[in-house]
Amino acid sequence: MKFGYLIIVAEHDTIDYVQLAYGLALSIKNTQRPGFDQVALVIDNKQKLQNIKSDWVFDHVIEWDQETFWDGRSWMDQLSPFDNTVCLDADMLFLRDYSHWAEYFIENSELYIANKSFTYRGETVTDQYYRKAFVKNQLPNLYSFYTFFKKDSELAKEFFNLGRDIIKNPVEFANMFLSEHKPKILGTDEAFALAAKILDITDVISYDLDFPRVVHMKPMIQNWPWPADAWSDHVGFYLNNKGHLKIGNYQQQDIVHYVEKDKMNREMISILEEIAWKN
Amino acid sequence: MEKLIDFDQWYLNYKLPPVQFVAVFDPNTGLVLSVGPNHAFVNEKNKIPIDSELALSIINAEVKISNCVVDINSNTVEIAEIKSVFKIDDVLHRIISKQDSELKLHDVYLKHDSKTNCLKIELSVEYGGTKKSRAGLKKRNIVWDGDTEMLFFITDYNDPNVLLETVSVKINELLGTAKIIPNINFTKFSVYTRRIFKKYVIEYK
Repeated sequence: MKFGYLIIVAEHDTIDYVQLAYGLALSIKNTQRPGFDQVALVIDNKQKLQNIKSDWVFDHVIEWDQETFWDGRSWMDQLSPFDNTVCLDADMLFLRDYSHWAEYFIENSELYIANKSFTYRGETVTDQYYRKAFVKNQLPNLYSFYTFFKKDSELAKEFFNLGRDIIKNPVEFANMFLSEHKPKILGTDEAFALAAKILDITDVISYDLDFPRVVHMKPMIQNWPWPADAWSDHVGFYLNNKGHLKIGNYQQQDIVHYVEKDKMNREMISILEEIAWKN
Repeated sequence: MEKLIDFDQWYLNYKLPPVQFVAVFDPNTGLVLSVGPNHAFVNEKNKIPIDSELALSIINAEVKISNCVVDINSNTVEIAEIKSVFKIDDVLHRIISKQDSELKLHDVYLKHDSKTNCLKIELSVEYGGTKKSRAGLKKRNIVWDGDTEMLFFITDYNDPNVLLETVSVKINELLGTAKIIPNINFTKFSVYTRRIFKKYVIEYK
């Protein structure tokens, strides 16, 4: 099993993460070329897949309930069934073929973590509203929503081991290394950034590249001249029956991290299903 | 001997009780007549509690009191017609198809018949229209400004950037009757509108 995408979800009181993962998996099947369209789902309870019409979009389903959702993602290296993996956040959508990005990483990297994100208008995100802990503590600007790693990499193993230690001991690590600004929650992004800084491998695992390109729809980083609680108060989300997505009047070409979980509703799923069934 | 209270001390420790706001309404029409703290309307019978945010918006004239009605079915205050819209979903609201709607009751019903190419627009009986709901809700005696215009933008499927046709209907054209729009001859389309009512739905046949 050479390459595949990994999505890790767990039960949540108000958010149906299985539906988000299903939407993402459908969009991967609809857009990626053969050999680059494998999807593995890690889930705490397989029974939750019963309501899904096309569970074949998950090539591998791994039942695992050792950690909660956020902590679980730091185990990605041990959970992936693939030799080469890109681990994604569940609330994302693929809109065109990005297989060449994966090809590059397979050829050239053992571990790579995205270090930039984009607004829905294609501008590089520079606003640090959600990243005060990164700025104040001089952490590398890593985004775990697109993390590539090789299964047999010693570098990746060392990195993920430390990432897990940080997530398991957030207070101790925050006191020691994030004293300038302690985040309310030490999430995967912070843990990965801190691990990269401690191991001094930022230049190895997150060097400058023009990809992966991920549109990050957190509302306060859209370069709007007004504060926003929810991006959908200001721009629409329009997925047509060909699977083309516009946000406002901007056609989206890159991976979209839509953040607002209600966007992956019944209608969006049926659009993506219909495209998958026709393919 | 009676002990005098130290007024300064009492004043320092005094905490205002929380204010419960109420809306006084006309029981026949549901129109909101007054809004204020509960203790100002002790003798009023037709009043319901409302949250302070909405009450203060009405008192500060951010929301027009004439646009507010009490929903007799749910006993909540609703803003019947939003003049100041801020959210994109209010300005450009996509009318969800019946099969994807999780709601059972709607205020405005649209139905497109692909055989006749007609688009039928109806208001629910509750608002004085013709579309009956199964739940048998009470009819509200609401007097509409009949000149209020409802605009329906017929667009490419889920893409309001590609406008195919615009349909304009006045509310008084829907009171007691349905409006039929002919020649809506598109295979797959969406309908967007400025949100005057709360719940819209479209059925494609």
